Amino acid sequence: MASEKKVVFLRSSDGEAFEVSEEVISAASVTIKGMIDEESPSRADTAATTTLAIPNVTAATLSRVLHYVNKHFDAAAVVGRPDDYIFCAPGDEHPLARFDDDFVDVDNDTLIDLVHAAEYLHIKKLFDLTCKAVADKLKGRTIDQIRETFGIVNDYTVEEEVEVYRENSWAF
Amino acid sequence: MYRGKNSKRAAVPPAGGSGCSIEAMPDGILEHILGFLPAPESVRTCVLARRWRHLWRFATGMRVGCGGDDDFLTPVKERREFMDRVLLGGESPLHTCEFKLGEFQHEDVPRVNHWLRHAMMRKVRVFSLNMSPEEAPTPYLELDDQPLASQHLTRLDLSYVQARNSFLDFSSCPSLENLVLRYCEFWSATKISSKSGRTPVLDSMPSLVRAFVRMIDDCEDTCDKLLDNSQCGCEYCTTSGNGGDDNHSVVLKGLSEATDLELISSPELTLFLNECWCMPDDFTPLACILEHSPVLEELTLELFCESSEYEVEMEGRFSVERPTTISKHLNIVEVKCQDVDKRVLKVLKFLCTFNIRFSF
Repeated sequence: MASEKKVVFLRSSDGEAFEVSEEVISAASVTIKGMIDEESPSRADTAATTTLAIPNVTAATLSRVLHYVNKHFDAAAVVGRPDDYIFCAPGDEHPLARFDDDFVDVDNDTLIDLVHAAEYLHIKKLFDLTCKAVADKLKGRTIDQIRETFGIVNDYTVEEEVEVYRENSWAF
Repeated sequence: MYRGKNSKRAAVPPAGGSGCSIEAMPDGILEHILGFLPAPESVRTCVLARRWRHLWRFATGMRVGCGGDDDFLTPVKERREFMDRVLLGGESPLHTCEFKLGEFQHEDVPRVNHWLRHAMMRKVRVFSLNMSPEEAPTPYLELDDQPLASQHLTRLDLSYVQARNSFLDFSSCPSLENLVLRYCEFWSATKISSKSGRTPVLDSMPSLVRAFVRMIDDCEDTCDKLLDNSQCGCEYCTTSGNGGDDNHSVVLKGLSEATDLELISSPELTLFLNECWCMPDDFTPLACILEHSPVLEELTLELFCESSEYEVEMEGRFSVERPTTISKHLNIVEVKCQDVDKRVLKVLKFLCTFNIRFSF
């Protein structure tokens, strides 16, 4: 990467700062792009680098998010046509498919933190990827298993529960 | 017998316990997550807890027949009630609809069409319909001959359906960016076209910027006519020479706005271009592409390849003067092939007549 490329620092909720290319993070995150655009008039022609506070995201999560962002949005690192799964010939695996699979192969809490971060930072591809990964954890499980896995407390009365089953019997 | 929120039933703490449980997520995120589940499983989450009772109605995706415990290729008849309820019971705009349906009877056809139209009413952005035949060959499901109209549709992916002229007019879908047609039949289009003077199949799509055309598996252009002045002799074509805009290739006309076009030819392409490509030394289809792609910048030809492994790749540029007939923006013609055999050589020689010179 050329040395004159602009970078910004992102400060996590627990105070750790991460360096990332301005161009890359702007392409990835609508939220951060907005912050940078707001900042830009005041930093024109100054050499000072910007530090943006990301109050909702911890260092552990932010570092994962930036790993994803650098893989998916750094034009220099991206092979071929990054977003166009459609252009892969049938049977060809998208170059980043394996990376994505590994990326979301984490415990539930880490995954849910990533979902929140992707939503807050407005990184659509990452939001879709992580939401899909949560769905995959729900998939194929019984209702009781889902409650257990995600700590969901059944607060229906028995009568209510019977009614809900009846109302949606066509799906069971 | 009311059990309040403090009920201990199934009260298992979330694993890890960082305080970020699925329960703490806002509805909007849960609705997006539900959209990635097979639709029957998404609906069934209604019994999890009160909060979940109606969440499925707002799921941003609807996937039917796409894996999970949701059987593949369930006949349309058995899906009917489910599809009606889930589509009509849903209340929010849909990002994604993915329907993979099995066997259908004649009376199911209007139903499937209704589902497609209803998905459009729910502002679906990405729509996929795959009428995958369990046992080939069955007649493809015929889509209503009416254009789709949606401000929201960005991607349409159709497999194993047949469509006529009007359906394939996407001018009322201004946001459509990706159109994927697999194993589809477009029929009657030629006949309608030659009578009406309209370009069938893919009308001009001004926002189409990149196209990928892979003609495989006995693809047939039912028009048999890839350019305006071919003498193809099929019953629908006039042979009166330069017919102007009315008679452009059904496929190529639609691609005419693309800036990056890949035309992939496999041996099967001889079928596709039967009238023209087989004819010795007649490369009129190729000339058609070179001449009638006004915004095309780069053309890649994969010639006579059986796989995607190319031994030879070469890049052609205009050497001295670009013939005036050639599309203005076309700069590079890349040729990929496994072997420079006589067939490839003929193509290269032909390209040289347009002052295109190749380097390896």
